Amino acid sequence: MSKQQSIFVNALRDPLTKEEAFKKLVTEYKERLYWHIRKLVLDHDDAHDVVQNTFIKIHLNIDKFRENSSLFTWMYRIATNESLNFINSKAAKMGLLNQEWIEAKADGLTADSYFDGDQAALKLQKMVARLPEKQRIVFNMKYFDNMNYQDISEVLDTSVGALKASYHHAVKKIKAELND
Amino acid sequence: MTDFKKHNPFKIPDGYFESLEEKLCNSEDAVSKLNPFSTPEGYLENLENSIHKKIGISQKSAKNRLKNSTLRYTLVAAVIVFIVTLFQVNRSAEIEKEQALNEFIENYYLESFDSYEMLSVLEDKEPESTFNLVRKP
Repeated sequence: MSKQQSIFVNALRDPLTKEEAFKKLVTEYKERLYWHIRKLVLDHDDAHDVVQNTFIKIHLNIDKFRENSSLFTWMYRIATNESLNFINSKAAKMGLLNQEWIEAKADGLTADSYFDGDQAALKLQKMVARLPEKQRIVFNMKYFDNMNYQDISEVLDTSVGALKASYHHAVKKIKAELND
Repeated sequence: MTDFKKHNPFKIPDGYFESLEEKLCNSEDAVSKLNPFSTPEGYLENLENSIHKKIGISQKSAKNRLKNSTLRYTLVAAVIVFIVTLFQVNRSAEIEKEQALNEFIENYYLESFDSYEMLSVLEDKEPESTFNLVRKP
């Protein structure tokens, strides 16, 4: 971890500087976390709930951050877990599997006023929604967020090899569906 | 001849395969990577405020929870202290009652009985132990 980040983390932990440092943290990372979450939960209102909960968790648990990864990776992990927990609870309430819930969300994108993609983008979202959860997350992080495998591996606590395999399978499935 | 066949005469630019995936994804033939999602107007600008507000509320409720639990524990402690005190008061009242009875019996024997009468109610071997029993503390 860089010295600069260490200083920032200390500021986040110090009760005297915590609020100010946290404001900087939100300003710096709000958009990146929002978009990561949005691509996982698809709906704006859901993403809004999850992003708020993510920052609350970050605020409450900054003392537990072990500094063996970058702060952003740690926040990304929280955001990913919060998104998956959100999907779990929503799907369970409706008596659906996670994938069924997310597919229904993707099918509803046509009527979503905050989705302005063309037919190709819509088709891609539907295909991504049909991927198994792990592949879907890896595909989003690699393809849309341009994250490298090492960072994804730290966020998801999975080996780089397994991630490459997941991404490869995801791309293969999407290509196959595109060609149909 | 076999050596010639095995040798690949073609070359590729340095790092071609490493960047191939990215090039393919970014090519016009690939599906657009442009973000198809949008947000309500000014949402991201106001997101910061809504997050701080939410954190403020959660801190406030955490403080209230702490305050409530402190109050609850204080109440439980007060009830325990009250019960213990009540028990001890009852116990000391019982002890006082017992002492008063002992004193009454002692005084009764001393005032109402003369030495002969007292000796007559006791057996020959008992006087010492009996008097020891009624000794004042």
